[in-house]
Amino acid sequence: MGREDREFETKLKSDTPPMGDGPLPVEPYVSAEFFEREREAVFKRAWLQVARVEDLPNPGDYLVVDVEVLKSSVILVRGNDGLIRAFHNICTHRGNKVAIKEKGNARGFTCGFHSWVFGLDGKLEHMNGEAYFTGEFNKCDLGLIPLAADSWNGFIFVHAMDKPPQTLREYLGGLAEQLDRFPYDQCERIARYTATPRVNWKVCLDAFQEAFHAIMVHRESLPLSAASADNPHAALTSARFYGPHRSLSAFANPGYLPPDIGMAVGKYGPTFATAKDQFPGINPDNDDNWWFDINVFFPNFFCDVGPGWYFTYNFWPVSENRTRWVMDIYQIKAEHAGGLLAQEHTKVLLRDAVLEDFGTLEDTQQMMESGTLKQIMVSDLEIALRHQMWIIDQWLATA
Amino acid sequence: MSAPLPDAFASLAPFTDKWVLASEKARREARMTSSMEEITAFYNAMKPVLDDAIQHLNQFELEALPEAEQNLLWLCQSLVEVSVAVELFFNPWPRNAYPWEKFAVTY
Repeated sequence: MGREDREFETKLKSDTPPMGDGPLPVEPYVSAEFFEREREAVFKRAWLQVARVEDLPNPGDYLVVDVEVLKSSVILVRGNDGLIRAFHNICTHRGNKVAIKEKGNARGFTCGFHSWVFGLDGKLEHMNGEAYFTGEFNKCDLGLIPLAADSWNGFIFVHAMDKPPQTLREYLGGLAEQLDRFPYDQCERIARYTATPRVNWKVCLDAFQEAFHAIMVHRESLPLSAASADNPHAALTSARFYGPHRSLSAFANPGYLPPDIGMAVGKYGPTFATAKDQFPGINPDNDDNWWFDINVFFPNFFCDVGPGWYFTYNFWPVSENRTRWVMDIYQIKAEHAGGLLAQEHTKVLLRDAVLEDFGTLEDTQQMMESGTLKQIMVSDLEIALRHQMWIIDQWLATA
Repeated sequence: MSAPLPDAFASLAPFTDKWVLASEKARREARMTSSMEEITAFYNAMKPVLDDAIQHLNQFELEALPEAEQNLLWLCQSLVEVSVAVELFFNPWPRNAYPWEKFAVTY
């Protein structure tokens, strides 16, 4: 069997980096030492998506995000000037957290240890016991410690470096251009699911950046949806590489019959199973039999888009074999009951399909850790895995 | 008297006690703890009237639904929840699903 026996070829719409074609080593998925290198060389050098602007609509609104891979807790807060800033959640006195609640609205942050008070802009506003601190210090230097923060289309990102080498926009590059036209601000979040499986972050992420698995894993939830006689292995219709990022278009079987209730509510709004309309920011290469785009923002954020809905994943590494996974589902705002029921169908079907995806993760991790395999086989159907690993290797090599 | 419904949908009254549920959590739990017989009976009663129900409900502001209409909408949301059990899984819950208790739901 060879390339000439393939029923369907994915269109590669950008230059493919020289990332090889052989098996991939298992070690990066199981090694604590490798994970520490990723922490330093990848996660401390990349823009990381942490929230959306709708999470912080008003001055004083704040959100506390645990970023385990940075070993930090990060406060995102909208100032009185309307700007969203990010700070390490640490008092500059003796290191206690200054924000304890997960979110809220505040005029500032008062440390619960000795009541130092910080403004929404991070400035130290009240240094309790100031007269008793000796030695040289400047109160201006004792504000909350900022992280670089920026947003693209309402997605808030932070960067651990004092001076990120690229702006967020520069970093996102062609992927941002491809996705700019999607009306994120006309959508509302309809679900958030979180889980912390015992799995390496790349094993978890890889399960969502190919469609080959859909035939087997989703044989119940999405039967015959991602493959057909012409494309029996659910090859992607097209793929694009944008620096460290990538965009993958999933194939839709034209003969797929969506479930009845999906069709019934799909008359009144888009659903994951039924929506087929033209829509801004999707299907960039006008593929036939297109389903949705899997958009991977290196290193650990996905924004998958379809006609009227999108969903995001954050794969937050906790350790070499623990990942905190967050899924948010968004859909065009419902103006009436029909639109709400369409949202409900998107949510229920995606939720149940994701529960199927999770079925393989911990078993894979356990057996990779057994040491039985030294390498895994990766096909062209799974080209995104190869790209992710190749980019990580590039970043480690330049650390 | 159990949860009221709009007059035109009075035939659904036998299902209100179990399926008029205001949150995804409650609807999902009702699905997970029901037999396929219960789920299928509810599905079969709802499916033929779903489009009429949506057209009726669409006349109202979503944020200001009268009580009977709100109950009807929740019934319809329960129908969507159980529909995948009837149409796709042939089982109340996906057989190959990751353990639900390891998932956290925010909304």
